[in-house]
Amino acid sequence: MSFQVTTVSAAPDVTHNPATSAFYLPGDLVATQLLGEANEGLLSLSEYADYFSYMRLLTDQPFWTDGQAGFGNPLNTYFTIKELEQRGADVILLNDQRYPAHTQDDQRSATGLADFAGKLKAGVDAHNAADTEIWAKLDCFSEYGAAGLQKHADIAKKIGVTGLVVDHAPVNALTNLKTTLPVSFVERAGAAPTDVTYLVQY
Amino acid sequence: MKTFADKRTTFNKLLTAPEILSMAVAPDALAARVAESVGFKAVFCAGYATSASTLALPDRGILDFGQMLHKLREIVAAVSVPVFADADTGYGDTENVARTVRSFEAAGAAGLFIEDQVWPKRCGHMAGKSVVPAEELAAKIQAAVAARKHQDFLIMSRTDARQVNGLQDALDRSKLYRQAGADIVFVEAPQSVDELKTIAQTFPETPLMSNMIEDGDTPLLTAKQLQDIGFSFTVHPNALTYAHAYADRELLSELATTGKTAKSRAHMIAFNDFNHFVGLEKLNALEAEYAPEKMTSFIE
Repeated sequence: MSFQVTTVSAAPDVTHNPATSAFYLPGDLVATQLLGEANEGLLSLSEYADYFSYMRLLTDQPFWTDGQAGFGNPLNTYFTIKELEQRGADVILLNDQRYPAHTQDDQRSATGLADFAGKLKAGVDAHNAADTEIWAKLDCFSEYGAAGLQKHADIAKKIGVTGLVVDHAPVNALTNLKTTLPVSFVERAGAAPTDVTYLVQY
Repeated sequence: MKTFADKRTTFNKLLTAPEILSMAVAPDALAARVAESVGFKAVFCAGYATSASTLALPDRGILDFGQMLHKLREIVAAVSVPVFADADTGYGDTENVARTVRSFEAAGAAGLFIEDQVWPKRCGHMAGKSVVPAEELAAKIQAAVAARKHQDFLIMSRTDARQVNGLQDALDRSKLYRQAGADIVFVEAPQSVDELKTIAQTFPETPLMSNMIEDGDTPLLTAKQLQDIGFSFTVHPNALTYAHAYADRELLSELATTGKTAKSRAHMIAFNDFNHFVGLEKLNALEAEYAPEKMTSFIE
């Protein structure tokens, strides 16, 4: 059985779900709230972090945060982790998109493997393991398929991230994925695999 | 989740050490970093300096909770030493106080103080202050103590009653605030060394703060003199604000009148020295660590 993760976009989503195993504040929902557009890449880190700080005060449950594509290059990623850790994140997701990250299917594209690896390494180096975990969010299955998913998962494991989240992928995307990392899945179309660690409900 | 336990532990140790803790208020993150670099063991984030650096306005209660919280976060992130915070009157009633405590604690402060002035408040050394009934701040102190998540997040009471009602009322109020749960007591603007001594004699077992403001109501003493009287920590709240404004005025006057900065350059830190101070070489080296060629072992 998977643990349920509650996706939130505003304070009532937190206060009305006290029993959830974890909360997740995705960048696209914050962009929708603040900018009226579901385009996470329009948000700056400081805007997202300020918004997250309001949510953080409402609960002691684990809170996942959206580090997007690190808001720039690996150096920006390093400071993204520092900032979100300072704000009280428990898990920080770093995705595999080209910066700036996008939410819509026709705008997303995977960054190069070296850039992806550099950002994950910067994230792992920047974080304090007693405070936060760094997880890789794999967003681009439609571009790189099952083989690419496996490659990204292997890189993440080698670098030392401690979890994977697969998003924007079909329900059978994980069928052949082999990894010792805990794998979570973002359920967007009402269907989800049953053997994931966390199920993120959108 | 980061709890900032290390910062609070360090500050508590500094506060109870035999040697007085000397702090300066940092108007911004850069000033805080400078303070840390020259050996200050803790930094203060306070309203007068933040009102000046953020709004270019006097400390008259225009600066709000959100702006203060923002400044606090910037300063906490810039230094590794503990940061103590000014929370003015708590920005409203006891519910506001609770929110302020939760927010400042989550932002990484080691503690905060709240005061008994009527809002909008004034700098403690400005004329025309007024104070609320003592019971009102006592209730806020109780609310603050109840709201904090960690018992070592320190709550300090500040009374501004000395100017309004005299020293005895300030002492009586501080006793009430101490009974309400204040960990530290701060009597603002005593007007003589004898008054400083009376405060220390009245609270022999309580950590006490003194406020050393240039041209203020309180005689300026050294940290050692204040330690000998019985104070636990002392703060210079406005020195950096005044120094920054002076330097800005001198340089900009020269630039405005001559079109150059030639005379002022003698008082500037040099380009390379400044970049070194804010860590340019470290940042460049950090970036190089994650260059594509360094990632080949992970992606092969």
